[in-house]
Amino acid sequence: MRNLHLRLISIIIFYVILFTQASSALCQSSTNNMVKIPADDFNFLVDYRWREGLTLDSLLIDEAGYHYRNSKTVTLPSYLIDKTEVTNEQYKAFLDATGYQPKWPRNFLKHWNNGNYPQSKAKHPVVWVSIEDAKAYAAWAGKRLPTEYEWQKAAQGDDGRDWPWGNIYDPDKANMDSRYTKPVGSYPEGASPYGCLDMTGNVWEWTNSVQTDGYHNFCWVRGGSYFFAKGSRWYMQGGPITNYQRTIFWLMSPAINRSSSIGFRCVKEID
Amino acid sequence: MFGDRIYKLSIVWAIIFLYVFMFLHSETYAQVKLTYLPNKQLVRNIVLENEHVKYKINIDKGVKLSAVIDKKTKIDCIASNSNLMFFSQRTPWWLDDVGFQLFTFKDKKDNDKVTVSINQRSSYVENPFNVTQTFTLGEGHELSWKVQSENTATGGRAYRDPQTRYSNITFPVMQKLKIGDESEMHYLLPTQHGFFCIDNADDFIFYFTRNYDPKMPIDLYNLNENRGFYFHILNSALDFNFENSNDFKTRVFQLSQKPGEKTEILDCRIRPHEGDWHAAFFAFKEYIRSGFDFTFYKRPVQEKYRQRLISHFTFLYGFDIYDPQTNEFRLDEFLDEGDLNFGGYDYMLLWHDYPRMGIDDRDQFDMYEDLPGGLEGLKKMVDEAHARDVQVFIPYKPWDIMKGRTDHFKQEARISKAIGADGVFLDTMSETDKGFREALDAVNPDNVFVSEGRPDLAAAQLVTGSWNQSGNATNKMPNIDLFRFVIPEHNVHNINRGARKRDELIYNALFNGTGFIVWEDIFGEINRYSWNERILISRYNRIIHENRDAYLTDNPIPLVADFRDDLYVNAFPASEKCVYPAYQLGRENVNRAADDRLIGPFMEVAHPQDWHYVDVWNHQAIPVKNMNGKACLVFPEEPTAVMSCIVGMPINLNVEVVGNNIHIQTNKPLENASIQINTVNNLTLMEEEVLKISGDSGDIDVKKLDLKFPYKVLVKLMQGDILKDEVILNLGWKKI
Repeated sequence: MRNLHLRLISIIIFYVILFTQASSALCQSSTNNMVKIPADDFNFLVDYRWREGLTLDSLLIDEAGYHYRNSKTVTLPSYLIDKTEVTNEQYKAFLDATGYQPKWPRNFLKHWNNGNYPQSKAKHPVVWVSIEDAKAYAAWAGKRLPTEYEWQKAAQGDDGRDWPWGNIYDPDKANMDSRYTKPVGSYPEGASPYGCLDMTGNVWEWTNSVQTDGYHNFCWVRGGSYFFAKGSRWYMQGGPITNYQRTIFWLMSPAINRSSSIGFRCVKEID
Repeated sequence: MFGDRIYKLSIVWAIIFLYVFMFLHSETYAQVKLTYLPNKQLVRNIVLENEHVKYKINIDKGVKLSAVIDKKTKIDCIASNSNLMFFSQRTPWWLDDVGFQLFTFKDKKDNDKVTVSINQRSSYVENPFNVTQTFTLGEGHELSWKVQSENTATGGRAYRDPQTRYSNITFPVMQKLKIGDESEMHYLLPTQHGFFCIDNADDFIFYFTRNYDPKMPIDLYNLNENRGFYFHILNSALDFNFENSNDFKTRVFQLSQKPGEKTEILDCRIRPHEGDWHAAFFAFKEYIRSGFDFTFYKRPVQEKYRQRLISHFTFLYGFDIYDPQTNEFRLDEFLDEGDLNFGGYDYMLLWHDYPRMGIDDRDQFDMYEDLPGGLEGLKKMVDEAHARDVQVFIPYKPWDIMKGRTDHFKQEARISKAIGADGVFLDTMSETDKGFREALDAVNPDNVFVSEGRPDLAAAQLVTGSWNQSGNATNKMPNIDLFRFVIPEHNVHNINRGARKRDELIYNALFNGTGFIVWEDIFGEINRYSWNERILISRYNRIIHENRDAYLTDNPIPLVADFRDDLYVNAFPASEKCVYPAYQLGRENVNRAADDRLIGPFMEVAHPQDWHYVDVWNHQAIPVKNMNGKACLVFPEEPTAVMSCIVGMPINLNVEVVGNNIHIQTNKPLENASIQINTVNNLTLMEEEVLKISGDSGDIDVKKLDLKFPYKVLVKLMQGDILKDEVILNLGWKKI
């Protein structure tokens, strides 16, 4: 009888160990290429240019010119965030696994051919995805889009720096004014204090900030992209965008929301 | 024998000729006569005259205006003045200020005009200015006056190189002219770029183009004397902007001229006139229009466009029009809301790109394709709008140059054609290129231009409509948009996007007879109109449409005369109607105790006796009272608002109320007529359409009208949607 108990306990211990190892391995696969951001208070300060159509906060007119500013301290628990933007390759895996089809598909993965990305673009950030397409991917991966707080903390660390790598602008540390996206992680020297890459440039990133003012849906996109429309002050600001700059994105048809310059990365909460 | 007679006659003629030549040098060209008095050698006066007017120019150490005789009245229009120097140019240093001694003359005939040029120089080297004044008289009353000055300095300090010379300039003939009692004089003056005032820039402002040119006439007038003088400055090297009449009267203009530099100091037209500044305005209008090419205004499409008065700026990202649940534009609901809130739109401007454009390489033309349904979807929406008689305009952005396209005009024309648009809005522009017109004409000629900026006169020949966003000027009453009155064919739309209060902007549109833009979603910034403003816009919308037969006259008159200083009235006369929008300035300050209220006779009218008048803004009949043989309009009670809109029309409706029956007949039959019975909402003063009878007569049972709350019943004779006559019945609760 005692042997029976010992055998039973051994079997239970074996399965517990087996289960623990298996779940650890599973976790490893979904959190692979993510960095852990420690829990702490975060001083969230965003500043953005004044322009018609941006009156969501009060306008500041001071020595720094016309601008809007939001500043508050938020307490963030520890979380994981993708080290890089989600790539074409990763997005393809999601499609293969789920057969995802957006409700309104115009411009969905416009740069792909016959349901596949150009081989040379495998490691490039996926673009031409709406915020809904991005959320679908995140849900499949057991993640979600980052809030603006999470995104900015991952880019900025805790010292309020202007750029992921420091306070001095350096055109060689991010893809900020070029014709194309580059493979994710092409600028290791541009890493943020937590090791996140391409937080500035390459592609704008959707954040989990869709909201309504009662008259429109909008969200904030962050980080800037490779694209820099030049020739007019009236274009949406392109080129180098600092950690603290935000840009409002008025949402409409997914076809027009999808863009060659907007991608995303995901976060995962730590229980 | 015969030869002898000829010989004698010749001698007689020669003597006569010599006599005339010696003692009275006079030359007659067509209807204009030039006379030197006492003769050309001893000249002290030069007389230029035609059948209307005689200008007498005195030469006595200066060139002076000594008389202006109106030949009809035989009155010397400057009788109360001593001789007035036309032009004074003096050196600032008193030792150099030695005047002019050398006067010479030239005259010539040119196309039925006579010109005399008077040159003045100094025999002292200290005064180096060589001044030529040229006076021309043609068939009319206007005397052209030009002044040119040259610095002929030969030496400067230390008697070596010639120097730049400075001078002080005045125009005594303008600045010192008196008409009757000086304290009763008024001055129409340019105040800044395109703005004009009467007496004082703070008091009242007209505005015209956004450019400095053309210059508005300066007008001096005396209402007691009922006459004035205008000086229409066509061109000048000097800055003719004034703060107020005192500034005008005392201004000393400063000029610097390099050695040998010739300066066109003035090109001006002078004319005495009856009445107030309106003579100057009409001369100005005629002058502007005589050089204006109306080719694009004569297109049939323009006549239709002129009648498109209320528009909506449609930011396509807003829920007003876009439904995110269905990913479609909800046009019908959008237009229904427009009908309900603003009385409906004549056209909508689709706004699809800014401020989103620039995030990627899709330019303004590419972005159309990605709107819900693409170009086909837009075409369907435009067709639906057309089915509801709403036009659709699309924007063009010249600044969108990221792709380096060189075929912008063609691209815009392509989009316009593809969706069937009715017009192109020229974003940030106040002018455009003929190439754009040609590109549109090639595919969709029934497109018009409307520019965001006010075009200058040259640009307005091609751009036939524009926004009026003169900011505070538009938002203020009773400011007058003179552009609207000089080129009434041009479609002006009032808008002040950032305004938080729009009452005056709406009144301004009703007052000036301009269009109005409803714009509540400013690229995402919400700036909703209050319910009160919605009501005002709806009421204005109805009035300007129902009375557009008069509002769109080619001869609108700014500020016609009335009996009160605080009342401002414009006139929009047509053959069978005249609209008088009237605004009382400072109504809230009117002394009720002294009964200075706006009650009683307020203006004179001169229409046939069978006309009658209705205040369609406040819904009250305006009686006509005969005062000293003149027909005067009367406010029987104080208007309910600062604004009134009086419409005069021939009486045609004959309405009798017998018991519960309203019996309606017309005196003269009218084609395409209908009778509209509208009640007036007691709270909003909005009209409620309760009954419509086709034809021009009928009977109505009063019981069928819900008269519990409405306080007035309007019986309106309509031709199509144009008001032809209106009778106001007091059958509502007031009566009860």
